[in-house]
Amino acid sequence: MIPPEDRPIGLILDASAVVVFASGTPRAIHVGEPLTEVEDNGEVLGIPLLCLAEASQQTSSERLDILVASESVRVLGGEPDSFRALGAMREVVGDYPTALAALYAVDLDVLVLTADPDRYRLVKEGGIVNPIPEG
Amino acid sequence: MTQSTGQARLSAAEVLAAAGITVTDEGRAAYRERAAAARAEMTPDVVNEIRDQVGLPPLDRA
Repeated sequence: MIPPEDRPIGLILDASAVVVFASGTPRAIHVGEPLTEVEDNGEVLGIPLLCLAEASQQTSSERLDILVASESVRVLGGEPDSFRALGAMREVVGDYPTALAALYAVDLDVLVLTADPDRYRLVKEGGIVNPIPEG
Repeated sequence: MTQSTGQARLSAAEVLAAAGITVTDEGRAAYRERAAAARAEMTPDVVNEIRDQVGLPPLDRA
């Protein structure tokens, strides 16, 4: 069995997806499902630190700590040599948490799970997102 | 480009139980369908056009 720290990242969660998980609403199941999927696939979820920070400004739920404590979650801090790309992506999407999520997606070639796909509309018409269903 | 949290680690089942989330086989199947449809839109051309847009070199998916 591959240790969690060596597993590849199978999906990026942005701030809106983290907020949905923390909400405790029925919609949170749509974040729980990919969590179980990545674990079964020997992968992990990647969550940019900026997305966790943004989510923490929208909810104080202890579910944030629970999510981060998962062995199937890896917190992603950013890459020093990608600062220009991050700045350029911020110009496209409008904020740094979303930009970092999008940048990781195209760096790792994986989708972004999001409850706010419209934020990515200018990134190839949202071609990198897996939208969380309503309700 | 990654950092470990260094905290106690929970399995997915433990996380879901602590968060009060119950995942079903049907729900997971529906998720897989949504993910596959989204993934089909994320072609190598799409990825590399975005990478070019922000000044990154092309990605070799192979």
